[in-house]
Amino acid sequence: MNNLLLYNLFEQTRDRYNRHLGLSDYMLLLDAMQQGFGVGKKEDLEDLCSMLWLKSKPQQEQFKVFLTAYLKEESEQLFKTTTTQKPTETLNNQDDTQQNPDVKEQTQTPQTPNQTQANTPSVSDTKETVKTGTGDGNDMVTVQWNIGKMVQNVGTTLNTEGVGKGTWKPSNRYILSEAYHPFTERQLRQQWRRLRKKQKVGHTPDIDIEATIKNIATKGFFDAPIHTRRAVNDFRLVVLVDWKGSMLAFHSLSDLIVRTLRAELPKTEVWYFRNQPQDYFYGQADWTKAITTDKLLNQLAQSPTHILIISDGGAARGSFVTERLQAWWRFFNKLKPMAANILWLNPMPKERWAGSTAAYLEKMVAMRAVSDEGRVIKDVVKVLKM
Amino acid sequence: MLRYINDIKVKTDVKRPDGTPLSIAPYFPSTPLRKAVNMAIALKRPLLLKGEPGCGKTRLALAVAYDLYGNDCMNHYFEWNIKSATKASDGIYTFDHIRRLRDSQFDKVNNTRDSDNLPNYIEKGALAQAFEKSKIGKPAILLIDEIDKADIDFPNDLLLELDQKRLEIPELLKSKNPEWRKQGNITAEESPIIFITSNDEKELPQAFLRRCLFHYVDFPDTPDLEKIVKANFTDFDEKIRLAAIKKFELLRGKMGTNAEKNVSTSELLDWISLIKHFETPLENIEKDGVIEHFQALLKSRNDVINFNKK
Repeated sequence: MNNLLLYNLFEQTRDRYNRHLGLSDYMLLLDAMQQGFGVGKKEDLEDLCSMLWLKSKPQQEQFKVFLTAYLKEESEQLFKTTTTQKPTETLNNQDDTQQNPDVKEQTQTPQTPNQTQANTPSVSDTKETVKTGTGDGNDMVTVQWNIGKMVQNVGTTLNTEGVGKGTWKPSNRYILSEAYHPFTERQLRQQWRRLRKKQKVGHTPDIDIEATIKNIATKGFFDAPIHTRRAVNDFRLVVLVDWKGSMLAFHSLSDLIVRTLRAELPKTEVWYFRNQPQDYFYGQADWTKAITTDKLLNQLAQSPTHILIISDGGAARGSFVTERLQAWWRFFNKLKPMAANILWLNPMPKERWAGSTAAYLEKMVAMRAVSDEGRVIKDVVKVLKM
Repeated sequence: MLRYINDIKVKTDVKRPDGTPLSIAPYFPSTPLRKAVNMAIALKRPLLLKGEPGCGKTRLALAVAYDLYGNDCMNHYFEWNIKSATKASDGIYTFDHIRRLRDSQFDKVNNTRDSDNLPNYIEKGALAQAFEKSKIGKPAILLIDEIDKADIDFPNDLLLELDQKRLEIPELLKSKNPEWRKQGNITAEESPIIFITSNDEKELPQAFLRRCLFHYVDFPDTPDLEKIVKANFTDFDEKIRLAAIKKFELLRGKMGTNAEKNVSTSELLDWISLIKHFETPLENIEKDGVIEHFQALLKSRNDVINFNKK
């Protein structure tokens, strides 16, 4: 029974905090407990679980709150089950003598999924379970069901607690959170690395083995190693970021993309605009360091450059603006001959493009919606590499 | 239950394997940290340590080594300091191809066979040394310091070695000499005790995190701070010590998370040694709105400006 409770705790921790946990992490907990860790006080279990399963401080803090609620509910539920069980126990024993063990198991197993699935089980449900079987196995079934119910309770209590503590202020008109990007910084950086165009500059301590051997072969003896020239990524990317207005909600997302691109691709330039390209683009998000659109286009013409546009294209508000469409049309006409490749990353899901300017813009240029799990970034890289 | 790591109450001198002296500063691990160390040792998993800079992450490993082996600790302690260009293979071994190539030229002239002696050209890294030294009942202690400095793929390249506690040196494995072939396979008899520190400059990969236990080293509380300062400065006026700690904690509270770099234990120790050196009187330390020798505590122009504003 104890094991099952721990397993439920493990499963919930995995669902809530760390999807990368596997069965081996659960076994690790059991291993540690067998060696005497985490038994005794609640704090010991808390320390152990958070050390084994949660790999960042904020998560560990959240887990503390969660575990307290979990254990509290669990003990209450356990108490309840034992009290409801007592009167029926005598009945069970009578039933038991009439049933053979096989039949008992058969009746018991199909019941389990029902109980875990049921969202609002009634009291009569519990009684039924208790009746069908006896002994330890039956205890487990009941407890599992009770925890399933309890989880929902914990979920709701936890949420309201967060509000009470003032982690966000209801007086604000909107909440911007960095916590829920569809991809992580790591995923982005790993993908950006695939955008490569090697160009050799300068010297490094790395030895060019092939050239050195060739040198020995021609001279007949070895005098000095030949060093390689360092390869620098010459992939030129210009990111055009729609800023302010309807993009406000996506600022941190755009920032993340820009930040990781700058870290991985040294030749990344970022220009900001609002809604549609006009006479100027801006080097800074606060509308400073302006450059005329013509000048920017001329710069692009000098070497093959890839263009990444981050904008909702009117999809956030669902509006269609002819003027905006025309501005983009004129801009693309000038841009297309200059750029190696153009890709538009739209933070709004594809269903929301219909009816807005985005739906028409999509016909002019490759447009991708930001989807989950960083898959879109793979796609972006693929298109930009073409 | 908590077998490992007792306080190191006074500054202790030990000797490195080459005979040079090294002094270990006093160290007071908190109970949660001690628990974490014991769990990591029992479960044979690396312990990943994060926390503010200067809170003693790096020094833990040596303290554990001293706790286990006393004066002999440096024979069982290995340190791998990660730099931005460090590769995972550097921890295992490097093969000096150039020197061997040069030697082979001389061999030709002198009619010798020096360059055939492969083990001569192999420089074992900290990981290999620690694995080799880890004998049953006598685990080695390995510190992988500031793992986040390396490339983002670096930790993933270590997974296999950390999992299996086994390394290979292909150059030796391919040789005809059976003795060398044996040397090419390094297996840790006993799982070494591995500590990994990170300053969170880069996100670590999930596959790597999964294999580690994680502990966040918290900033010491007031009694602990007093203990640390007292142990580091034994003959120091108590009034000045308490005043300095009070002032320091006030400053730390004020700076909070807004500061570019909040003050830490190591800075407190620096500051107190300045106070001691210049024999700063008590009233100067207690004076409001001024910090004597602020250079030891405030590390950016903004922090100095912000402090003067308050």
